[in-house]
Amino acid sequence: MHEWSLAYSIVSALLDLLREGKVKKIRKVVIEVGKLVQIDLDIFRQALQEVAGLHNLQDVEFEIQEVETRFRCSRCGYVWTWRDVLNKLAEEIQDPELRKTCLESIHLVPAAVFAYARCPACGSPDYEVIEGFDVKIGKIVGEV
Amino acid sequence: MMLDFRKYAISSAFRRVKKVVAVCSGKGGVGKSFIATGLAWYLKDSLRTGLLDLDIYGFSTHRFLCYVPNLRYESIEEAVPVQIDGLVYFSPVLLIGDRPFPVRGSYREKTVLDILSFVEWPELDVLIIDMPPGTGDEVILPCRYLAEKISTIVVTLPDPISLDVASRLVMLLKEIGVQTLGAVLNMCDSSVNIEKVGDVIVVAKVPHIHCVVSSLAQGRNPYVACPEVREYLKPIVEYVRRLVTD
Repeated sequence: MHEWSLAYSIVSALLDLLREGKVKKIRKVVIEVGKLVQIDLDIFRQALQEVAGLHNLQDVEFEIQEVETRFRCSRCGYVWTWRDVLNKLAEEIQDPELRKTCLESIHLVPAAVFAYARCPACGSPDYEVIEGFDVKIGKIVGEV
Repeated sequence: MMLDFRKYAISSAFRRVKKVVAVCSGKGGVGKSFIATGLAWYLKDSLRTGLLDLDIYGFSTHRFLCYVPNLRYESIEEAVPVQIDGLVYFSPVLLIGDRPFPVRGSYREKTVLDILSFVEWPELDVLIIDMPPGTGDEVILPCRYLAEKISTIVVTLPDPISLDVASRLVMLLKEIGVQTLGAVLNMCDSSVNIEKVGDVIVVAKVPHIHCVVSSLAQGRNPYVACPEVREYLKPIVEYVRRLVTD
């Protein structure tokens, strides 16, 4: 998902919360970003601040927490991380252009990882993402 | 508090699309993708038309279009769909090529929403969506997030079992408040006397067309190679064209 599009969507959601009176004032928003999504945190932070500023939310503090993506195989129980996936993809897809497309696909649609990666221990496609799958709002601090 | 911010991304991604027509089927294997692709292919002659393949397990519209993506050169970095002879097009094949896509459970829902969120559609009069078969999340989610623009066409075979499932789909669509424009009976002789699926009118009956299979086997686009396809799809194409232009 694109950093600017994501920032726009999050700020739009916050504006609706205020508009609907669910919160009176927002002081801080904690956003959890799974490593799998490969968000450029600097661009994302800048986008959040700029989009928020356009809507008079410049005082809101955005805390971005990067979360390690961990996978668990449903067949053999092996647990691995996004770093392991990256290493494996570097081995398997040697053409840099193809690898770029693969990573970009996972960036835009994180579930595309299921098409590209298998359990490193047993090769199974049947695994789950224990944590760090996508981008989500972890916490909103404000006045109700 | 769970905050659903995807709806804003989807709304933004579709902001330049006037109408969305989702081609649905309760069962797989009824020719939904063939009808959806043909509808988009002929509509593009007179309307700015897009085609989105949302059938994440069985994406096949690229085969009907004889489109072979080159994942090495067609970077999806810009998140814009590709153009095929004037048809604006996106499919999971652009993300993963011909690999299987074993997404399960909640990941399937996220995949559909992510695809709806990130593809930046240009100015379009109509976007045709080739929906996944079924009567679950795969139908409900796009209808929920595109509620203001979406209507549907139901494709079915004329046999009693397929018609039963299609009728259930029609009921579901009615319950979630989505208009069904009409039904298409595929692999259907003109002598078959079925005029409604549930309470939805049959707008086209398309027989088995041998030329489609042979042209696909030869790597040719059946909507170009088989003139009779245009004739059989004409009622539904005209129906949607009127909907969009009226």
